[in-house]
Amino acid sequence: MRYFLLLIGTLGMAAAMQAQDIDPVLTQVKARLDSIAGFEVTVQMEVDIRYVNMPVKTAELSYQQGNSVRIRSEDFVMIPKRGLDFGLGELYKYPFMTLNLGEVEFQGRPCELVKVIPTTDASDYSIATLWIDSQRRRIAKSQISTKKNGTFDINYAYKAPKDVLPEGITVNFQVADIRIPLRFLGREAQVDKGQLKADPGQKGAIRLLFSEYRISR
Amino acid sequence: MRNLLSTELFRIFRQRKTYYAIIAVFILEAIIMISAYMQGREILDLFLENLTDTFEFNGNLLNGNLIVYLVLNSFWFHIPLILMVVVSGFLTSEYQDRTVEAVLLQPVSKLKFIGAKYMAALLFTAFMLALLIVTTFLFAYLVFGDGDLVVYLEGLSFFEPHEAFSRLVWAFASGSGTMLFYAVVSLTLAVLLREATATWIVAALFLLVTTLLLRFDFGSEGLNTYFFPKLTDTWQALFYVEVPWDAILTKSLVLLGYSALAALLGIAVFIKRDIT
Repeated sequence: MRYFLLLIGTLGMAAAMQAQDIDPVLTQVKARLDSIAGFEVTVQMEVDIRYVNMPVKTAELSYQQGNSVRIRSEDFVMIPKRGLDFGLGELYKYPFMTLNLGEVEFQGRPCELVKVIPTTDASDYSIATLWIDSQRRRIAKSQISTKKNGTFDINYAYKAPKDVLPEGITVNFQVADIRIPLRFLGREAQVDKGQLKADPGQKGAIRLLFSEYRISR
Repeated sequence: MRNLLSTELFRIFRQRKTYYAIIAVFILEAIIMISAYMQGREILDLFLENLTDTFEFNGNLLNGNLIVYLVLNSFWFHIPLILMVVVSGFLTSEYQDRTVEAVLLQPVSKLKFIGAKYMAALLFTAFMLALLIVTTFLFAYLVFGDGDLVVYLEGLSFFEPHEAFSRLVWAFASGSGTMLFYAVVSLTLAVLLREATATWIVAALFLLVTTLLLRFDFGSEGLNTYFFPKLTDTWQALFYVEVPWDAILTKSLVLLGYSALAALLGIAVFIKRDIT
């Protein structure tokens, strides 16, 4: 019984410590996002990678709190692996601590610069930096360094000062170049994959433009 | 002339080898479609490999438009080879059977006789291409469905289904001009060589050399643009993001000129030469 009480006490302390470790500005933003149970929105996607020529694509995006986003489109679409974490679910998936680096200006707005550092190896990102507009209680920019997929720079644009859901998101990333023989699909279809990977480091972006939010609270 | 052409077409479609050619085209088409299905996923994975770290993909790229594009790539070598073998046979078989002499002993002019041969060769080629194009689109869309087309040409280009269809149709139209050129050349080779096996070998060699010269840098802009080997891949330009319509039209017209020259050469040699 004594050991059980000790365990409960330790877990309670750990939970309390974690709660204390999360910056209140981020907690405010999270609470605001949690007030949205789900939404559906039309999204236009514009891929900007030097070697990719893709027309602007339109898709229907749906989000339900606690679930990852779902995208429906009749066309082939490329969905960024980061940038669509509307409820900060991916950030909050595993325990973390935050470090507030104070106020900085971002795009003419005062923002709190908050570092999010996972406290477990299970997390798929090593560090995230958030520019949080504390007055408007929303994220203006984030930079997520993942363990496997490189670093994503994500900028958020909002239509109105009161909005918590963005009108536009730009995800910047690094992507490796490709080199494929001109007649890749002809009779010389055998291609050496090893030779095709070139030096990484090329920058790319995808711009997402949201319209017609149908929000459920 | 009309009677000669009708007779020629009748003869072509009475010959067993014509149907061998049609079957060969169908077999080729089936092999391409099956291999496309087997290899398509791997090729697409290769295309998208460097994007998988950053993106997830939604939609099917292994669709009818990609399959049609793969069949279109048989315009590089397979289809022209079949056409050249069959078309040259229209005349070499007549030399071999000595029916040329029999026909020309009748009140038939040499010009009309050889003219009808060239016209029949063009009509037969057009028929074969129409058959290939219609069946390719039909089977590809029925079996693999519709979807975006991805092509690697100066980068990865994605075309939406309606755009892909339009570009593929134009590419087939442009490629057909190249096939007609090869058909005319093969008949001219038949006029020059008369013997079937020699004509097939030279026709295959012509095709090989042309394909090799396509990639050869002649060090002159004029030659690199308007020498006939450089005109045989015009259809590829339909898959650039911005289609260079003027260049395609110009190159197609120049290739048409080469075809006319090849035909005139064959006609002149045939008329000048003794029948026996």
